[in-house]
Amino acid sequence: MITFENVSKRYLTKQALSDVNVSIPEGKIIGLVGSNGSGKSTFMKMIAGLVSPSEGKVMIDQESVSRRTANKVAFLSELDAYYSFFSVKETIHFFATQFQDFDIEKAHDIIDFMDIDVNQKVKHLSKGNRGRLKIALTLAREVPIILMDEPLSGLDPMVRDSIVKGLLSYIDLEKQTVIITTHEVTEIEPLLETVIAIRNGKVLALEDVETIRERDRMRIVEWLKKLYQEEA
Amino acid sequence: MMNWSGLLRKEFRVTRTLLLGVVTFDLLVMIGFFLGSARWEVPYLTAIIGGLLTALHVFFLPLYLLISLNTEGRNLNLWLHNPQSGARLLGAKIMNGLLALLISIGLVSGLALLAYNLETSVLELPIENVWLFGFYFLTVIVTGSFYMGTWLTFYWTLYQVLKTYIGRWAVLLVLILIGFISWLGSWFDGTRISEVLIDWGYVQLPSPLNAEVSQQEFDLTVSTFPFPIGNVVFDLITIVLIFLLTCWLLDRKVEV
Repeated sequence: MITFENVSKRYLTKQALSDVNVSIPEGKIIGLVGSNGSGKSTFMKMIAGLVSPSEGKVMIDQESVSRRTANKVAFLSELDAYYSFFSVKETIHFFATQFQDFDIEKAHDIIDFMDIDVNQKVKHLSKGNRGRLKIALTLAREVPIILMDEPLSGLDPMVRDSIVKGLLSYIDLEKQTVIITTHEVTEIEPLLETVIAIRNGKVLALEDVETIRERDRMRIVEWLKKLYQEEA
Repeated sequence: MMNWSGLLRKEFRVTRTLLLGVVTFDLLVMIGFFLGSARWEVPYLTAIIGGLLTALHVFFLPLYLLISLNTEGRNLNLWLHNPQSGARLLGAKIMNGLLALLISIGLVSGLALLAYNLETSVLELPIENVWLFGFYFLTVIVTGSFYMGTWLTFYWTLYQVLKTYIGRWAVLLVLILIGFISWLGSWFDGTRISEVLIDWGYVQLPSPLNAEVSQQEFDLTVSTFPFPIGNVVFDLITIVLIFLLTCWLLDRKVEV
């Protein structure tokens, strides 16, 4: 289980997270939603051990996270980051050498599903295809935690739809927890089981999507708007 | 083992173009001067240029590492989201840089040696044993480059840590720190503690030079020179500590 205990993160001129206390349930697809600059990326990077808290502790299964927590966490960054000199096939091979849990066969399956030419240089792929490659590299890892920061950004609506549908077939929810941030909340809403709302570095709520639908009779975006209005 | 070889292969690809550029430059300079030397009639010109180019290799590893680290710096999350230790991530860069350094310096010094042996000049240089001279020279350049490269890696990593907190001021702070540590090193060199730590374990190494000391009464040929082992041990411990500190910073303090 991922636990945030009194976690704050300060940068020179900005408070990115503020006294966050949250325990994230296992084996679910969780949406992390909030406006731009609300602290979503910092939240994700903290779980990946790529950002350290200024105060408090982030733990996975009772162990404090560090950079080397990468052996438990697959992190898809929102940035368009890749080794441009590698081909798609070489990129897959490089990831397989670095992560013991990397399933090459699964990576090739996903690449086929995404219709990407494995022999093409990554720098020659379109932005959309680079986005798909990132998704394939992340989902090909057999890790307990998968973090996807804006996985659909830069992809056209048709592709987004097929990826959202494909996501479920490449995730094993018996063993894996997936946390996704996205601005296309409506598109991934059918996938989500739990949602975390964040604003100005504060976690406003963690709620089951089913509860939001049945108790509040709302969709996630409406629920988020309501929370933001109450907080304002 | 697979992850180490994977890292090495990736590092080679990161700087492959750079290595090709340097090797091409080496060849152009050496061949150019070799062809030109026949016209200019300067004794040992190609060998001297080769020697200078070899000496410039002291800056090879720091520059090579700076380019490689800056490439990673543009996509830090890609480099650092990796379960391998900082020692492995940095070690693969240093190892690859050393290999590139040896290729380039081997090429230049080999061609310089060849040019020296092909020289028909009547002018005699005061070098008794050219192989031994070359060995000492290359050892000094390669170890010096390694030393500077390790310090550069430390300062680069420190910059990455500070950048998160103070932004662009990190460059200034690191430059001030470089100045301060250099001053501290110079000050330390003159102290009694430095003498105790460094100035010991002298051994006599064979001299490659043909140096004769002539007095009124006698001629003396200097065939050995004193070399302090203590100096090597001190530098080795310093550089290991700096590398470990850099790895700790990379693993614990650098943020993306």
